[in-house]
Amino acid sequence: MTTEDPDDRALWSQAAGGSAHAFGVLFDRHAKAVYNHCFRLTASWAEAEDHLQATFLLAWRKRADVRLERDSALPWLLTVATNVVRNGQRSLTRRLRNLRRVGEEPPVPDHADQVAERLDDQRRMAELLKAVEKLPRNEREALALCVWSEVSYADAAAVLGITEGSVRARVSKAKSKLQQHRELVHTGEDR
Amino acid sequence: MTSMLPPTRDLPPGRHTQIRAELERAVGRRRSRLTVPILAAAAAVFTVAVSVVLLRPGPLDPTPLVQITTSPSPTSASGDFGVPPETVAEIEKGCAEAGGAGKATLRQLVLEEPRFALLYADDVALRCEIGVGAGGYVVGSSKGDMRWLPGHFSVEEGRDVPGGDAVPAPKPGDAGRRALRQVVGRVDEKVARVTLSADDQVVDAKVVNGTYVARIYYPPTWRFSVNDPAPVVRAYDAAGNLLGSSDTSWRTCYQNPQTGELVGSVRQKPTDQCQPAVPWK
Repeated sequence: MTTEDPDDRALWSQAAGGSAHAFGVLFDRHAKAVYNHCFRLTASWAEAEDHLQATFLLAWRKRADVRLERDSALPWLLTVATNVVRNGQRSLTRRLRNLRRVGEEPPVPDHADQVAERLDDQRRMAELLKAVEKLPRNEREALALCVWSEVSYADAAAVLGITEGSVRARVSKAKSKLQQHRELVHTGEDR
Repeated sequence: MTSMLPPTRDLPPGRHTQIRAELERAVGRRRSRLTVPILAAAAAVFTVAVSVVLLRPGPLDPTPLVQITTSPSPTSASGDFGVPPETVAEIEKGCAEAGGAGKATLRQLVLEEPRFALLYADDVALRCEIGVGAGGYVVGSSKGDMRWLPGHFSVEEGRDVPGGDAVPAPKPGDAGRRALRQVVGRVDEKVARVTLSADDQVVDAKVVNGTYVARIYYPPTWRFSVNDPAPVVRAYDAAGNLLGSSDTSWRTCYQNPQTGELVGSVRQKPTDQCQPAVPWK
């Protein structure tokens, strides 16, 4: 983003007023982060695409009800994405929509390596998710939000509607329970 | 932040633009929708063609007409695909190679464009588009133990392909290509009829060799929206009794009675309520 680009709050305000273009700019800005967040929750790149789309559709529907308290819309979008993934996993609709993608994607020359890498990603992520699935949901989602997607505790607290201390506590509990999987919880420095 | 987490990746080529275009269209579309069936027709002994015209007004959705066509067939199994045996062998070889599978058996062949073959081996289902791609075959595969069914039927694929005149950056040859909704899967021997419900329409699938394929065609300008309700597959016995429906069957889990492994389930763990899977061949 250059200094001339409008910040998320300005774009969100325009989107709330009905600007599809402003909403499209928000999508351009945050799609990749939401896409990768959804992947880390599902271990499926295909599902992540669907959840990405569903997340932004849900965000559009809620645009009039939400006022951004922070500079970036990303923490809130990641929270919406988390809910979309959680709800989507209970529905066959999800499975049907996942399978649609096969024929829609245009052929990409020499993409075998990309496919292999993504399949490897999925295998690795599925193994990682097995390690964290025993955590309570709130701890698991706090871990994904603050550690894997690197949202600050303050931003996470704002979008989750809880105190920063509670977010820290959830992440801390998750970390302590995953001591044997230190690579999952290493954050460098707290934000 | 960690060496074990898979790396951050971009969306696949073209998908960012495609999803953004879809979003902008969806958020700009007026939600009112009139659905007016104008034409429905005609059947022969083994073929029924249904054409329906829908009117979908909207300032950003100028597509006025939708044609829906399907070609159901009798429910009996048949080894006659309407092509010479050497063509069947060629398709089986080409699709298996493109799908990275060993030998797979052709179960369904759709000769209407886009040509499509459905093949199975014990451990994989191959959904094969014919006459496309560099090698003439483009294959999507579903891995699993295909000797078992999660109930009376499975849904191997539910796919929406936008029309050739609706994609933001059409490829050469896309112009004029119809949009397509397709659902394929397997059925057990009790299933006599399979229907696909979508866009306020119900069409019959072609049920052959323990498999089914249902298609709905739309004009080349048609795009699908994630706002649309998901299509529903329903299976019936010969007496017309409903055996299962895809919008409710996900609630039930099925286990291979020999190994205890889940059948047709992506994430569920076995529960006390799981039912035995149904043999398929």
